[in-house]
Amino acid sequence: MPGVLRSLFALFLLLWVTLPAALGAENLSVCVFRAVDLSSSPENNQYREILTGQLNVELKGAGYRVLPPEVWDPIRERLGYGDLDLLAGEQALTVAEEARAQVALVGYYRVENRNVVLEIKCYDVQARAFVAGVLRTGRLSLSMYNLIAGAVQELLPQIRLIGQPPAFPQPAQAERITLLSPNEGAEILLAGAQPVGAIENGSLVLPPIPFPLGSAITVEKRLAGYHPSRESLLIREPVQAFKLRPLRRQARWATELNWTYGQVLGFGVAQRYYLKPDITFVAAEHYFYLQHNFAGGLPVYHHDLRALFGAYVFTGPDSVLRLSLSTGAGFILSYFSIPDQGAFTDFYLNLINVSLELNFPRFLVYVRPEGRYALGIGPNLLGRGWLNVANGPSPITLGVAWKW
Amino acid sequence: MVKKAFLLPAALLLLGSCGFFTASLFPGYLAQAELGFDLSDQIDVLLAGRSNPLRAELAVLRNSAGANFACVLVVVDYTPDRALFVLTPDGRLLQRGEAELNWLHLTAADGSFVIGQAAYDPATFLSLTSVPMLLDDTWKPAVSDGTNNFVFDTSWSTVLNYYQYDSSWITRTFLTTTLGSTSYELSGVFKDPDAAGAEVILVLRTSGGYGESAVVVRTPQAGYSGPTPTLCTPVVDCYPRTIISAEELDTRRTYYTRKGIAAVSYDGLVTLYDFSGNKISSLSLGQRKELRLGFDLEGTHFYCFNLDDRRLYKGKTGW
Repeated sequence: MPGVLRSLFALFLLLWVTLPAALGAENLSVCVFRAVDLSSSPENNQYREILTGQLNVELKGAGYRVLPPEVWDPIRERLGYGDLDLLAGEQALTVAEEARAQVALVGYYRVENRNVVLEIKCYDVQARAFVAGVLRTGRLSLSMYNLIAGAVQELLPQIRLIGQPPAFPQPAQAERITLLSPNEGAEILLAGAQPVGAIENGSLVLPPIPFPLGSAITVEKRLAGYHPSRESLLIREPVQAFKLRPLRRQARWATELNWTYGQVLGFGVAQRYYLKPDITFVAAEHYFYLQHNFAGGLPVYHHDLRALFGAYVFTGPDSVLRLSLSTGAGFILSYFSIPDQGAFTDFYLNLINVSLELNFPRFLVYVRPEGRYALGIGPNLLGRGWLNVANGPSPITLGVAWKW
Repeated sequence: MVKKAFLLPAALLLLGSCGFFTASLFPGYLAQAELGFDLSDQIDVLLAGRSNPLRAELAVLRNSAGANFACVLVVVDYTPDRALFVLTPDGRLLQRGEAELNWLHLTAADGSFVIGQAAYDPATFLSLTSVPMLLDDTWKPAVSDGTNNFVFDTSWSTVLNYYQYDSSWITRTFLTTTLGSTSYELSGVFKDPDAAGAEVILVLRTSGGYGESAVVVRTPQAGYSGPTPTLCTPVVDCYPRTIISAEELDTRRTYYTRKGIAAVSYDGLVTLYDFSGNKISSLSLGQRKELRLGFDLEGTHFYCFNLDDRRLYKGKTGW
């Protein structure tokens, strides 16, 4: 039995500690000031008590401690305020503050031609702030009670917030998102999957999807003949327009002009064909250059021809910085200015080229260290071995390519 | 605006001076060649279908008229077969094939030029009678003072040992003198007949006090003849010398020219040093490892031969 008593005591203690906090409203005292009749004739004065009484009943029913007029009326009189003065709010707050109330309610009504206009305003005393108000109109009949009850019920949720920590604001949402693009007809997909329309006359208004402000959405753009592209848009404003990046046209060909350190007195031309647009390619190159010592000797002429297969790695066609690897084979045909020397051919394997590119919509600029291995077969000048600039590095090519 | 106009030529000059425009995948000497000869057919005949290894040596000699000519000796290893190719001063390529041919080369006291034990007329380049020197001496460096012939035999020693032959190569006298305080290997001998008093230039290798370096000493040729050499000793310290001590230096391939000392590095770069050891210029040989090289005494021309492509070039050094 002592065990049962201890359990009951513990349960009581738990309820005693937690219930007031759960109810919350019981801690709030409310000054419900007398309603003011603003009607032009005095016969509607009876509704003052009805309205005030109804407010008291509803608030008590909701768990608030309604201060009786005996508490606040002397204060009002001492301060010299009439009931009408309290409607201004400031005076009502002063009286309620002295009466140690947390909430102050004032109200008025006006009856004309049996139509009633009713307003109730609620103030947070501690914050000295207007919290909420409700304005109702109706016919002067028995439904007047429903009118008052409805107004109080509308106010109650706002009153309950008084004294509680401010709630987090609900996230604001986007209302109108407009996408601007120079790619007319480009299909737009959200998250790469959900089509939401196409660019028409340079823009597309997204359907009303409640994106929270501060969130990012990913749109994918697709247009025939162009590389699909995704970009992420951060929504900051309810109404916002985004300028989408232009799509990159798919290139099938690229014509190159290049220059190689190690083959200084000359230049090369090359033609690329993209097997997969802007991703994999085959290329044919021809580089012509002179070898001259500028010390009284006669130049040697070299024609460097090669075929390459290459592919881009890591980044896509719309990236500004791209890396490509290529490999292939070629030969350098050489002949002298001095007579009777014949021609020489140095065959080589172009084992690996690593090309770092700056990629623009219509052209690209690249730097390309090259790993070439001479085979030393047939009448040749280089012998067998890696091709290096004499007493220097491996050849490095700088080039520009026009994509089409 | 005027200042900017000067910038471009200045930049080009700067690039030119650092070899930017001459940088090439191909050996630099190709663009300096005046003559080129393909010896493939002759060497194929010499090989006669055998797969024996080939060796080659190149020497640049000078006749009494002051004309330079290059001699390329090709040897089929493990056989007595060898061929001498002579690039004459007038640009003709001649072939000789005596069995007495060997590495030794000099313009001898009697005016002929000698390769191994074979002697040739320096005007007609026709073969003369064989030289009766000891067979052991035919792979050693040699020089003449116009009266006697000297064959050197110094390998990692502090003394300079050599044999003095008379002009008919019959009398052989051993002579010695102190070379230096550390050991040297004699890798080459040059003669400059026009230098004051005529000079014999010793090219020495050392790994001692100067590290791995080449020491080029210019000595008076009058001091070599016996019975007692009159050279000041130690020779290395007594006479003008140039010390070349560069990284990757192939000290065996160091050449005297009147322009300076041409030294070849293992990575195929010929650098010309003045007689104080300062770099003056360079010439790229490319990646051919077995390139044989020689310079005329004036330093204006080079000769190179390679067994890979079997081509002999004569070109301007540009120095």
